[in-house]
Amino acid sequence: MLSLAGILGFSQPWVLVALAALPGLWWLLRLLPPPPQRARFPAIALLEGLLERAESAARMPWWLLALRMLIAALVILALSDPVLAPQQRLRGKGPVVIVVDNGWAAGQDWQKRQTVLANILDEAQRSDRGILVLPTAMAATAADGISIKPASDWRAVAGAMRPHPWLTDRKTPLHLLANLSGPAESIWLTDGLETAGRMELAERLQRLGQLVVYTGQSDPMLLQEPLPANQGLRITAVRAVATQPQTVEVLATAADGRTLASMSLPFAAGEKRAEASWQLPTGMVNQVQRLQLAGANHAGGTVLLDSRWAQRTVGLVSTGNARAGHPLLDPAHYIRSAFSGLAAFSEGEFETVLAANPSILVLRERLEPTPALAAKLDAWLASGGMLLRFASAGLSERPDSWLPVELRPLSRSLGGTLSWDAPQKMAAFPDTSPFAGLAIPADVSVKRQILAEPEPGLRDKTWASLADGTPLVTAQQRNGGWIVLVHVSPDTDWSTLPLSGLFLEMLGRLIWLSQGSPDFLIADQPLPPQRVLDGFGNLQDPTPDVRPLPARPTPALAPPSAVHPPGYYGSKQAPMAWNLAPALTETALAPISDWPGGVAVRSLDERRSQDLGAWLLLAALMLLLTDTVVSLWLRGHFRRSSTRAASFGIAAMMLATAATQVVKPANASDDLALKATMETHLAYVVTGDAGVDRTSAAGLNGLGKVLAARTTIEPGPAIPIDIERTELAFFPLIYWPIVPGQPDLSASAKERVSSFLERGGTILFDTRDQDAGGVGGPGGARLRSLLAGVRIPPLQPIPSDHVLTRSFYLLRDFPGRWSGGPLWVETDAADSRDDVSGVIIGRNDWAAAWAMDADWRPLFPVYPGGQRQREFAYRFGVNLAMYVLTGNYKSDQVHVPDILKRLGQ
Amino acid sequence: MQFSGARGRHTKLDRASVLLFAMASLLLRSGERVGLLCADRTRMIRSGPQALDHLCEMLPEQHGATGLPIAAELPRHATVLAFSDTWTPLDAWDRRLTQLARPGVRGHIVQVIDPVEARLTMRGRVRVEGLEGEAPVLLRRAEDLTDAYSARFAQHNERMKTICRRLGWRFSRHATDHPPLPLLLGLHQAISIDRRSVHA
Repeated sequence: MLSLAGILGFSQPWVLVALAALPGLWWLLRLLPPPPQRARFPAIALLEGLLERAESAARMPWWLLALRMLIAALVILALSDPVLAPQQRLRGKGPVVIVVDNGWAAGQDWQKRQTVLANILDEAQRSDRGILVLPTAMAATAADGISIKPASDWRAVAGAMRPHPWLTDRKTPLHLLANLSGPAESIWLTDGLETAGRMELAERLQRLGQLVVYTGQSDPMLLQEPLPANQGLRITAVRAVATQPQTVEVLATAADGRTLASMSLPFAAGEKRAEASWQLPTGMVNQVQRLQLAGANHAGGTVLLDSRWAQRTVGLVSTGNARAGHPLLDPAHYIRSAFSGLAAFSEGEFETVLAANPSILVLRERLEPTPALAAKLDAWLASGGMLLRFASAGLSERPDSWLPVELRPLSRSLGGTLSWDAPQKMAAFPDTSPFAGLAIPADVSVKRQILAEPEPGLRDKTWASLADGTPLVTAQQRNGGWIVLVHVSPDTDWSTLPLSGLFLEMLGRLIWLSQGSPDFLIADQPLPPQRVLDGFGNLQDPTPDVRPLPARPTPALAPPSAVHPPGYYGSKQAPMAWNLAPALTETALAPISDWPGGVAVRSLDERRSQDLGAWLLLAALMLLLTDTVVSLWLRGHFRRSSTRAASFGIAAMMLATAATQVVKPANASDDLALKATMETHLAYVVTGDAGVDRTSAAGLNGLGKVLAARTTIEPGPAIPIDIERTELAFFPLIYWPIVPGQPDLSASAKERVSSFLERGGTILFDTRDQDAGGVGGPGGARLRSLLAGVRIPPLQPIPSDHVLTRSFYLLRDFPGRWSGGPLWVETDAADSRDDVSGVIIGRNDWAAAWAMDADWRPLFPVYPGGQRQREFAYRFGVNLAMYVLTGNYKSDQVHVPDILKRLGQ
Repeated sequence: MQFSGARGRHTKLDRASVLLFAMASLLLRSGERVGLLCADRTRMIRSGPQALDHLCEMLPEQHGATGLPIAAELPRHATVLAFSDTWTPLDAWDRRLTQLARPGVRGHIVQVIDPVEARLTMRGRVRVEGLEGEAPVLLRRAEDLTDAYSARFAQHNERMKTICRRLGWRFSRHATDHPPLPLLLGLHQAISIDRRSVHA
């Protein structure tokens, strides 16, 4: 291959020799003029003597000659296979072995790897060399099909190759290379991470011939599974290269892809590990489906969360003696309302609550379980449950065996009528307590408590105490679970603690402390795959290769691989997140520091080399086309009148097909959308009757002026609507006058009107036929046939207490140009549209009553007449606009007159 | 002769036929006898109302014929009226006219040409083909030949005129883009003068 300054190379440089023949071509073209035009001419005899002079005068214009020389030169260049940005990698002989690290760390710059791989394949194909591509992360079955093949056969495989979300395995390629002997050239696209067998593979490749290693620029970074922390999560990330200080963004995303929160995680210089606590509201933690390093599109940057990180479930054992109708006196009320904001809360009999396997079991009373239940309770404690107990009068007298401390038989009363002592305040929490750091409000006081027997370990068991040192909260770990005792009752009889915010905070801390014990951790059956991660950190449906995880999996039992990729396993409702990070030890992130001597290390950053041959041929073709047109012109073809335009038309068309694509003009409807949404506009349907349409416009503009003068609604100019075409969604209220000649609606227009009504729009239909008198004038009939097929809800004559009668003014009737016509509204307007009737039908020709000129002078008389009727017409318009824009809030004020009357008395 | 240089313009043959019929009609009306001089023979010399009809039938039969008419024995005091583009070689014309021009025979040669023949308007490289089987001619740059052609054209007409003048015949030129009436007037007048002198 011939290369010019690394920018342009030629695979078949010997073809360029033909360029030397161009001067000969020049001479030849001069001798061979274009074919002549043909003409019939009767006086041919006269021409015969003139020929000798004519011969010498015929020749080709120099620029046409140059054009043809250019075409010839382009064709020669194209045949010599020019390549833009060529890379000369392959120097040796024999097959080319390409090792591609496609483990989890390769996803970050996969595009570059693909580019380099494609470039190498191109180059190998140009020099006809066999290729062996060895991915280091692959399914076990994939190894069978790997053999030395031509580059063209590898192209599809290489194009479809993806990074995988597990570790690279460099021993398998070593086995596959066992049979390869003789000179070969090797290229290794590495992810820069050390794994077992790396050095052996490098040395094996070197024994075959030259080895070139390509490394990426970005250092892999791994997000660890977070730990539950105080009010949030504890985030840890690890990086391979610890030199520069660096800050990465961690994103928490919900199952639907929304980003819930983000946090920056700083790496100190020289530190490989960064940790930070992330304060998140409990409810939000529940929604987090995954944590992701921003900008990291590889599997190691993604951690999936499951119910282990989710909100805890709390079960309250109810004793069935709640005082109905007096929630504030119910001891369970405070526990219930405290936990309801913090965790999923359930309540019931002891057996049912325990069967639901809660994270925290709350007991207010003494426990007298049957032996079977006691065994279940112990098993539950062993699985990490937290038993939260509150004191009760009976507990200290007859303690049971699920208590953290020995209790003294009597409870202690402080500040009662028979006591000298004042109620006790709380002491600051000890540092070892999970409550440490919570501020103690001054108004928390304890009147009564049960006391622990003094014992040597009592101090360690105490999480909270009173100012005199007696314990308020004690806890003991038993069989992996916790038993926590609060030495006061959960209601206000014994202390004011349940009334304070501190109670809530303490329970919150307990929730974070409690271990969830989801089903998948204790179930005995394998966990089938639900969704798995791909190498870029995106969830996909599992391939057939993916096998169920064994029961109670550990990273050692089922390391991430083609059969167990990271993802969600287990039941659809509560799947288990199986992450890559726990399987990777710190050493998995060790960067490769040394290569055997003689290995060339290069960067992945290179441009995709581009074959220019096709483009040059295309250019030659275009020039040939131009040449044809020019030749036709030279031969005088275009002087024959009409053929000229046609020929140029064809030529222009052919040129246009090769030209760049035409930019689409901006959508014209965008203008309307912009105009209609910049401010509120009233709209009217264009009927096709010019007089009616003018009246509609003038009427709505007149109403607009009245609205602007009297209310906070300041509508823009009225917008005409073509019901067949205009988008309706921008308008809250559409005025639709009915004229007899209006054409029927198309099916699509009917659908659009229906959906406009269903989505909250309102249309005022005005049949304008009250003057005709009687029932069902011509407009009414037309309206019925017009709306046949539109989904109109049931209608009723407007009731006297309808919101429309008082949304701004108090109205009894709704006159327009005529008065007395009925007004129909929806019987039951949907709640979703705030009780606003979508269809309002009347006959009073309101637009005519509203219509006014620039000087606020009315355009039409009203009947029976009077300024009062016109004023009420405007009032109806104002009420209507208020009604469609504000909804039913005025109906909430139904009782205001009564209330006012009562207040007055 | 079946040539027209522009769309919508009569071919030379059409124009020549129109002129021929018009003259025949005029002459028959003034009591002359009219015959057709063909490439192989002389056709029926007639007078009277049917003469024109016969002429109409005869003329299309001659459309395929090329070259000059035969050297017929014309009656004394006959007048030869020829409509031609005169592109037959001038020597042939000279010979044939001399044979026809027995004492007392007068003649009018009307050169009917298309305007594009009077001045060469072709441009560029043109392969010129004749209408009557002549060998094609290739012009490298037709526009370069315009002046030379005009000179040749003038020279040709001049020689044609010379031939006619020698025989005492008349030569006139008609282009198909001109109306035929002025030519007819002139011809009729000239022939009338000739015939008067014959009859006198």
